[in-house]
Amino acid sequence: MKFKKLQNTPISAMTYLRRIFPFLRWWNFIGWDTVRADLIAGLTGAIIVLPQGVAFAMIAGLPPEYGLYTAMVVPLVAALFGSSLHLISGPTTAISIVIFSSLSSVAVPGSAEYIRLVITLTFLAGVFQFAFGLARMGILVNFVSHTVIVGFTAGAAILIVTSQLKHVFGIRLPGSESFFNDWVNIIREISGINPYALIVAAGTLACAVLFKFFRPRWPGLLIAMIIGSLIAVFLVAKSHNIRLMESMPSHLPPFSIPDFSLDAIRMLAPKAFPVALIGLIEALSIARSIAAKSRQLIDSNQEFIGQGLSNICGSFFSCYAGSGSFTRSGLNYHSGAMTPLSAVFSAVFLALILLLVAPLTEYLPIPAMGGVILLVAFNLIDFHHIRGIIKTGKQETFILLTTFAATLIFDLEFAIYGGVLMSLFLYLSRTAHPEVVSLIPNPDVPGQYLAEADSSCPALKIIRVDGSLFFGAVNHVVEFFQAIDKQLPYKCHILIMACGINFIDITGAEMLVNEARRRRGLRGDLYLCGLKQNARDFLERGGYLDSIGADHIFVSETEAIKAILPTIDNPECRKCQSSLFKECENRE
Amino acid sequence: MSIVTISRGSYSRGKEIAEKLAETLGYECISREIILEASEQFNIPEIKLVRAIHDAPSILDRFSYGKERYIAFFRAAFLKRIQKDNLVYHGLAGQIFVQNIPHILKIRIIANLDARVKEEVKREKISAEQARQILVKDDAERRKWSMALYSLDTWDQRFYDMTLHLDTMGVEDAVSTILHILQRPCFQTTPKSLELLNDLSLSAQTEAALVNEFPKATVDAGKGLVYVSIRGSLIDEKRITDKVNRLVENVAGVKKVNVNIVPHSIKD
Repeated sequence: MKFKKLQNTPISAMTYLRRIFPFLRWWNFIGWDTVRADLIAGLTGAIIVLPQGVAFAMIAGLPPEYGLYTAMVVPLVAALFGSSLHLISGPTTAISIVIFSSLSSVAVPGSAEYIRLVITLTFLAGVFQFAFGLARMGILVNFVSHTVIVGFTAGAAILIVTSQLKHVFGIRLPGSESFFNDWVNIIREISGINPYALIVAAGTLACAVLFKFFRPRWPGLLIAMIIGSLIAVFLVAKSHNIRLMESMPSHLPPFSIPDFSLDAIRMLAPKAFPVALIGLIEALSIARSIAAKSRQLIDSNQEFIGQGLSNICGSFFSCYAGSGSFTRSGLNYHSGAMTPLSAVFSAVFLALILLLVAPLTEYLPIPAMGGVILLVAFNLIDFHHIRGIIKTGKQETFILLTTFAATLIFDLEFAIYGGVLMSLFLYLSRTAHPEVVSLIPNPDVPGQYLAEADSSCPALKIIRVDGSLFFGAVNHVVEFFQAIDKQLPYKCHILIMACGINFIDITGAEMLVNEARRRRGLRGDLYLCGLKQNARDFLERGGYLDSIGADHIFVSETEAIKAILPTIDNPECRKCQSSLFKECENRE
Repeated sequence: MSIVTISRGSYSRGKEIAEKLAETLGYECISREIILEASEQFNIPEIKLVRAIHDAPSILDRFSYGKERYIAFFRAAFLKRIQKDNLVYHGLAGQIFVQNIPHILKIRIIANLDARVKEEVKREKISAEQARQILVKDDAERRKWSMALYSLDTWDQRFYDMTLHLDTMGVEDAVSTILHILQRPCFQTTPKSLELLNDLSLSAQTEAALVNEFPKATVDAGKGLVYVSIRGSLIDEKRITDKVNRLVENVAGVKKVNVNIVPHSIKD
């Protein structure tokens, strides 16, 4: 839908600047209150990303420090050039898996050649994403409905919980790519639970919950992790097999140059495309999911550009492809972040942690991280909207449950594809079946001349079509006309209240012409009332108005009925005693 | 039953006009008294209030919200005082706070710089060059102040009902002109315009009650219903709402408070 501009106001230089540098759009909102909130969220995020960055880099077949480099550069650029205020980009599970499966057959994971390919792949994925953004293809993401997002978010939350249970229970599980296998493995290993790890995780979780309820302004998750670390120290972690973080390398991301040779580009471009696509879907879905809570309007194209630029810049600083992270974005939002500066602070804090206190990270117990992530995952489930969707109807509930189940069973991107396809199918089904209702005069309510009713005049059927008359909907409307003929053989005159018809295409216009001809053959006629200007213009331009009859188009229902009733010569009408219309009272 | 605000540059004889006008009408003439009242009511050093409504905000002020705080106190005291009606106010900021109150006559007094310099030299016993420098700096500071805080230029004539140029008329003529225009029905206090003023004052009192905790809060009030918009994360909605209710419960005239959290502001 295009909105007509109310005024021809010239676009200012500042507006142009804001388009090029989107961070200028929220820059004026920054104040001490937002900086304070963002600092706390950034610090919490920096600590959470430490173990995740290491783990994801290892999944991608890269040395651990590459995950941390990605967690520093990618979120910074994506936050400043993207649209979402709360999305935290960086290394993610899905992208890490895709990178490993794309390149592990080409080079030995972890080798210099492998790293070179990954960096080039990251650059190309960024270029694709940037180009999609410039081509304004972000509109495609509008087809991911809110219900899909809610279902996807709930499913992802359960996946996150599942992935953390091994840390919480202190058990070692064999590698698995299936949600159900994970649970089977967890149940199988349940007897081997490490009670000390569980105490650390439960203690951290309990602290985080208490802070959330009683001291919501405090950096509860961060304090909870420190308390978890103290519990681990008290329990003498190492002697009770409580896993601790590994020592981190203490230097900033080194400069790197992607391989711009034609051979490399030719080989890697097809592999970069799915990385770009999955990255965009993931980032946009998360951004929209959080935006639904923060009431922000996401500019999909800007988010594409932000993601693209982050990967392009990242490829020059030893980063691998990143995208939006569900856990860290959720954590960022729930820690009270108000602007994308939280992502910038997070990157800066991560750099400082690496440079200054890298050895201290050895004291951070992994079960404590797991405990905190459990709370974050729980908060991601939007119970309020789930209840609303279930109350709304079966169709939406079906989409919700299917997306939720697909997220658990299949890959994340497949769940989104499935949800989108279902949303599209239901949308098309809805538009192809416009509601057609029967109307009769309504003397009881002043001002409302016609009202919906089952009874009707035996000679003139008044209907209202609520939807566009296009090729997909024509069949449904024709079926309704034929049903009128079957039920009421004398009802040959039809007045269509067309105020609900937003658009008519050639098939719809031809259907109206054919129906008008058919009605005339049955000693009746077809009339239209309240036709919108664009629909009327279309009928006029195509010559359809001449066939229907320009005098058969009315502006108001009173005018239409006043003109139509005197022309009706119907045997049923003569027998009728009901006098539904005022005009009937004057009939002889 | 009228209210007149007179905006003036230093040494442009606006004070003289205000005093003469108040004397003729039998009204109260106020200026610095508002600062003293605000200082007493909110327990703030007078000098800080003077600086807050005179000096343009610095970069540091933007982060500390010091300026907003003092201005909120000044505005609350100012609006509370003018609710009493029958007064002439001359001085800083008055006309900005009552832009939407139609019956308040907003006057701007201007004079040539040379005449102002002469007046300053006469009163302050300083050199003409010094006087000129002080006046130019003072005028620029006041314009910067209103531009930075309200995006309004105090020299923009659209914000006043009447501008009087003291080069072409004397103080007596100016007073006479104001008296004449003040007789017009549109500048008489009516129950409706008084209601507008009361609502504005209630919003100012509420803002002053909130400003220490929520310096960026904006308040709209109507018939005792108060609508408070506060920057903050929606995660903190309940905590902020409870706090606002606690802070506002003692403000006289507030019947009900609605809190609207503003989680972000994105410009196109």
